[in-house]
Parts: sequence; C-alpha cells; structure tokens
Amino acid sequence: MNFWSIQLLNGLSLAMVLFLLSAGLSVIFGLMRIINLAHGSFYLIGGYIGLTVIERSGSFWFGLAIAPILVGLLGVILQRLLLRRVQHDELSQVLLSFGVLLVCSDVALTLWGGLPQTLPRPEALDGTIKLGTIVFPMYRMALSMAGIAVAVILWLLLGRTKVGARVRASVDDEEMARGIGINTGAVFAGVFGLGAALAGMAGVLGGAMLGVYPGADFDVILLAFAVVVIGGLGSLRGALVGSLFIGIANTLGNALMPQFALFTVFVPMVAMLAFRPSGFFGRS
Amino acid sequence: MRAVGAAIAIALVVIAGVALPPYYEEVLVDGLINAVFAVSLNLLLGYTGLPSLGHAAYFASGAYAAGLVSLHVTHSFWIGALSGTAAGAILGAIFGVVALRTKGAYFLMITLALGQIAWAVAYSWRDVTGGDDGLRGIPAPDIGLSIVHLDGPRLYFVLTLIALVATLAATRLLVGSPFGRTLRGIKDNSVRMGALGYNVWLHRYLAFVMASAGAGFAGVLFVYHKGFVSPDVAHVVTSAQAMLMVILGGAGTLWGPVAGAMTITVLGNFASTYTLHWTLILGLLYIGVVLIAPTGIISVLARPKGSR
Amino acid sequence: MTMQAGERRALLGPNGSGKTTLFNMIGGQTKPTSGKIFLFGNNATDDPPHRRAHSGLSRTFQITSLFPNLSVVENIHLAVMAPSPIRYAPHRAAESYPGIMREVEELLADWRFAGSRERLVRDLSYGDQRKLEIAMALAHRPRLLLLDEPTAGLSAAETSDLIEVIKAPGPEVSILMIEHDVDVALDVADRISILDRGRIVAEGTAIEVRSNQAVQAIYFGGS
Repeated sequence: MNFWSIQLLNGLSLAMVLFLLSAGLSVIFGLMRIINLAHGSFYLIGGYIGLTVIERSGSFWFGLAIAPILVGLLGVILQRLLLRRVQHDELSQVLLSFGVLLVCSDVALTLWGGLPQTLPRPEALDGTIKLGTIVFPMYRMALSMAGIAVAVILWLLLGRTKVGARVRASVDDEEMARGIGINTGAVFAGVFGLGAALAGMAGVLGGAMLGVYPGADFDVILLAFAVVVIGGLGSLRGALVGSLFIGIANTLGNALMPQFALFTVFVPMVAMLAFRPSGFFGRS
Repeated sequence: MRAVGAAIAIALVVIAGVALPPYYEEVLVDGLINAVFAVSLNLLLGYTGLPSLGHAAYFASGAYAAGLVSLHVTHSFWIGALSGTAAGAILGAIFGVVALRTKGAYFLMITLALGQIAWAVAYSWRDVTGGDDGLRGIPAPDIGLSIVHLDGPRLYFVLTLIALVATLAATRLLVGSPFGRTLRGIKDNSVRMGALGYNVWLHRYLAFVMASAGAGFAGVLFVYHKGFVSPDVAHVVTSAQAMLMVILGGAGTLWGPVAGAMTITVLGNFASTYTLHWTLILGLLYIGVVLIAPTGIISVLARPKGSR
Repeated sequence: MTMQAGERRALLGPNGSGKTTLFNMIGGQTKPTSGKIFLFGNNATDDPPHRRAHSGLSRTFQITSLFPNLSVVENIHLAVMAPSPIRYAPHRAAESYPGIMREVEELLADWRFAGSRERLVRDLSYGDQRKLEIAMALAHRPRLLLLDEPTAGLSAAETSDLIEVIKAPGPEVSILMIEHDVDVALDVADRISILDRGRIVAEGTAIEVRSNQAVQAIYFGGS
C-alpha cells in the first residue's frame, strides 16, 4: 500500500510538471498550428535561470517569479521574430524550432556547464509530511497542489474572461476572429509567451525535483508531445488528462519495469495518433 | 548538361578520395553513407511529400541487422547487405501501416514517436542489441573476391562510392518511371490523384517501404564502416539531421540530398576539430536554411528555365 | 435520385443546399451518414474514390483541382496513365510506353493545349485550367461525368466554348452537372433536379420544374 501511494504521488507530481509544460504547447499547437520543438528549451532555460537566481538571491520564490517572466519574453521574441514567418508550413516549423532547440542547448551548456544540477528547494517545503502511516515529501505534495491551482486559474482565464474569449475565438476560426476585430497577432504572441512562461515555471519546479541537465530539453519535449497528442490538441482539459496519464504511466513504468519505461510513453502516443489523432479532448 | 555535372562531381570525389590522407577519406566515406541515407529520405520527403521525422529507425535496423549477421552468422558483405536492407524494408512495412493513417503534422509526430520506439528497443533489448553499449567489434566485410579485402579504407571508399552511384541510378530510374510520376502527382494533389483512379494509400505505402529499404542499406554501409553501432543511430536527432541534409541540398532533386549530406558531414567534421560549438552552428544552419534557402542549394545553383 | 445511361442532368439549388456534398458522396471523397450510392448498378457506398474511377466515374471540382506545379503535358499524362496497370511500373521511363504517349499527344491536340504543353498549370489562365480539368476528366473515357460548376468565373465567350465541349461527348457518357447559371443548365441538360437543404424537392424537364410551386418558393421566397 505504501509503495502504490508513493508511486501515485510521484506520478502526480511529475504530471503537474508535465501539465505546466504541455498546457502551453497544446494551446499553441491548437491555436497556431505551430509545432515548436524548442518548447523543451523553455523548460531547460527556465530551470537554469531559476538556479542562478536562487543561488544569487538565496530565495526559491524569487527564482520562481523571475525565471518564467524571462522565459516568457524569450518565447514572445521567438514567435514574433522566427516562427511567425513559417506560419503555415509544418516542416519548416519543425526544422526551425529544432534549430532553436540546438542553439539554446549549446548556449545553456556554455553558460551553465555539463553537470546535472538540482535546484535547491525552499526551506519551508523541504521536509516530509505524514498522512496516516505514509510519509510524503512535502515538496511533491505542494507541487501537486500548485499544479491543480494553475490548472484552475488557466481554466478560469480561458473560459471566464474576455481575454480568454478572444483566445478561444482565435483558436476556433482565426480569419473570422480577425474579421470581427480581434488582434490575432497580439493574441498569438501573448499565448506563445504565456505558454513559454509556464514551461519556464515547470523548469524551476521540476528542476527542484528532477534536476536540470544537458539533454533535459530533449527528454522533456518528447514527453510533452506525448501528453499533447494523448490529451488532444488545443484543449486545456486534454493537457491535464494527458499529463496525468503520462506522469503516472511513466512513473509506474520506471518503478516496475525500468527497461520498458520508455514504451509507456511512446506506444500510447502512436496508438492515439493511429486511431484517434485528435486525442481524448482535442479538436481535429 | 546534367550528366556532365554529375560526372564532374563523381570525378572530384574520386580524386579527393585517392589524393587525400586517410583521415579525410574517412570523412568522405561518412559523407557518402549519409548521402545514401538522405537520398532514401528524399524519396519520401521530396518526391512523395511525406515528411518523416523517424527515418533513422530504418537506418538503425539495417545497421543492427547487418552487425548481428556479421557477428554471428557470416562475414559476407552480400548477406549482410541483404539482411540490413530487408530489415529496413520490413520495419518500414510494419511502421508504414500505422504511420500512413495520418497526414501532415500528425504524420510528423507519429514518425517521430515510431522512431523513438525503435530507439527505445535498441536501448532496452540488451541481449540482442547490447543496450546502450551497442554492438561492437564488427569485422570488416568480405565481398567474396579473394584478392580484394575491405579492411583498407581506400577500398571501402570505393565500395561506398559505388553504392551511392547505384542508389542514385536506381532513384533516377524510379523517379522517371510511371510509379515515380504517380508519387509526384500525389505530392502535388492527392485528392485529384484519387479521383483519377490512383490508389493513393498503396503508392504511398510502397514508397515508404522502398525508402525504408534504402535507409536500411545505408545502415549496412554505416555499420561495416564504423565497426560498431549504438542506439543513438535511431534517435530523432539523426532523423532530423537527415531531413536537414535533404532540405539544405534541395528536396525533390536527385543531387540535392547528396550535396546536403556532403556539406553537413564535411562541415561537421571540420567544425568539431576547431570548436566545441558544432551544435550551435548546426542549429543556426537549421534556422538559416528554413529562412533563407528553403528550396535548397541545388535549386539555387541550377536556376531552372521553365518547368523542370 | 436516379439517372439513366446517356442522360444529361443538371443539379440546381440555392447556396448551401448540399450540391457539392452530394458530389463528394458520389465521388467517394465523403462518406454518407445514411443511404447508399449505386454506380452502374453496383453498390459503391464503401468504395474509395479510385475504385469508383475505375468503374467509370470521373469528376471535376468546384475549386479547380489540378497539379499546379506540374506542366500541362505532365498533368494529362497522369490522367491518361490512371486506368493502366503500368502506373505501378518502377523500372522503365514513363515516356517509353508508346500507347500512352500517343494518347497524350492526341489529347493535347484535340483540346488545343499543344502550344502550352510545357507551361506549369499554375501559370495557365483560369479558363484554360477549367478546360484542362474537363479534358483530364474525359481522358479515360468515363461512363459518368460529374461537373461541379464548370462555367463558374468564366467570361461569356469562354462559357459558350465550354458548353460546346460539354455537349460534344456522345450518349456513352452520362453527365451530371452542378450549375448556378440556369441558362447553361437548360442548354445542356435534358432533365433537372432541384436540391434544397439536402433534399430533392423537384425533378423533371425544364418546363415541369419551372412551373413547380415548391421551386418557385425556394427561388423567389415565401417558404
């Protein structure tokens, strides 16, 4: 019983990191039909910036605040400068964003070195908590709750605000949205920036749990795509469901049969693409 | 005009192979092998319009198959080559059924995922593939002529050059054939092809299997050249690089993938000697090609007059 | 809806009534949610488009559907090769089949495209593209030809040219035509079907249909 509870919590906390990472990716793909392989770079750079800020300032929360902002800005620059030019050409987007991924990967390696590092956790959360007979790390619990909080905020933002309505309109029919006066350019840039910021946040939060290392950008982008495919493109609910699925499946896989852990991610992804490409909740 | 250009290119490569010291020959052979790989991807990407981001899976299966044959069965080059090419074709036949249920961005993602599955198999199946250590100590292949032994780099260079020329000749024949014309039609307007009476799925599937066989063949050349193979060969990074080679050189042209492969290989080797930042340069290349020369260097050099 | 062999039928109806959707179901590009399609007496409901083409169906599209990056001769070549088993041949040059090449040359001459044979289709005028599409649709001698608004966007002169082209084939080809231009429809067709909101509301000769109350209501309001 202990074993399963711990795995479940581990899976849940991984799922929350994945959710932060893929919520943005899902809406970006659903909205702008942009495949952005550099989304993993947002995670990596977010984690590294967070690391530096925490080390310099001594405050985890400061790092958590600054890193997403800077990464968000990077995202907006990337979108407006580069990705906007290959709006309707998937192949070019893949190659372009892959190039950005490589560039960011090299820059990160140069600036922060090749050793895996873990972000220091905030003191307040650096202990364990006891629920009944089971002992859980406080950080993971807090992460899970934070993830749910973000999900709720995003859902409210998208579903209950005027800004959210504009985003949803642009997702539904870009031309029509522009026709009724919505500044789709600003919407796109904003969504892209927000998605990047969330990924950066995932980098800080995940980095304190899983660490940041060269190659994390790659590992993470593959997981994020699996999440988005399974949950469905353009759907926040899908990103949550997909994250839970992949987070728990991958954690259990790693615990029970580490040799085949990789398959728990890619086989469902292939199956979903082959039989129901729009995912569980996506729009085709 | 084209034939003259091709003859000159081949002559240059031959001269380079003969005149340069062994280290450079090694790089040339790498380039030639990458060229075969890129030409096989071009059949899918450039001629049929199927952007596969997992083509390295078939390259890897060819390499592993030939490697295993060489380690456990026979040193014969022909048997190894046949096994590797068949392995690529078989994997392509299996994966193709799944992948061709999708189009466009979804096809990109499913081929990516399938490629990663192949990578995961290579990584996990220690008993067969050696896991992340890979297969090592694969001996030089025996081409069955007692006088000629392929453990000299010079002779292997000749072999890979012949292999590339043969691959190009086969591709040219295929592209100019009715089947090849059909692929071009499918790339341009697949709905119209279906309405005219072409079984679009079947043509795509056959192209997919052929391209996978070609990739498997390139894998065979690779494993005999290096003497070892590891799971990285199946990773999306390898697939993406093949795609870059095709696009840089010019998708849908015969020589484009060759030019792209040679450029990237030579550049990569050269850069790695002088700087640690080949990844950065490569990344900038990806970005540059997309923004500046999306139709590739070949089509920029050979300004077409009229149609094709 | 039923058609007789050799018939010329025009399909009319207001925008959004489902004419192109009907064509897509007959052609196989869309699956019907209910009902069946019978082609030449056989149940074709589950057949993919290419199988229907082989049984004798041919069509044009509302938005011209050709091979824009290929030349005129390459376009016609693809149309001519379609019914032949050589389309799978990987080992011989496409130009090395004399029977096919002869047919291509004939079509180029008959439809007066010989002068522009090497031009890319995307560089052709709109009228020429429409004409080429019909040429390709007739290339493999179909038994049923579906024409989706063939004269849309054409000048008066081009329209009368095209009408001659459409009237040229003999009774071995049945023609079903979607048209917005009622005069063209009446010129070409023996019988007319009127579609409204997915249903056939009237069918018959021109005179019968004109005097039909329901049709008048649709076109002149009041329903």
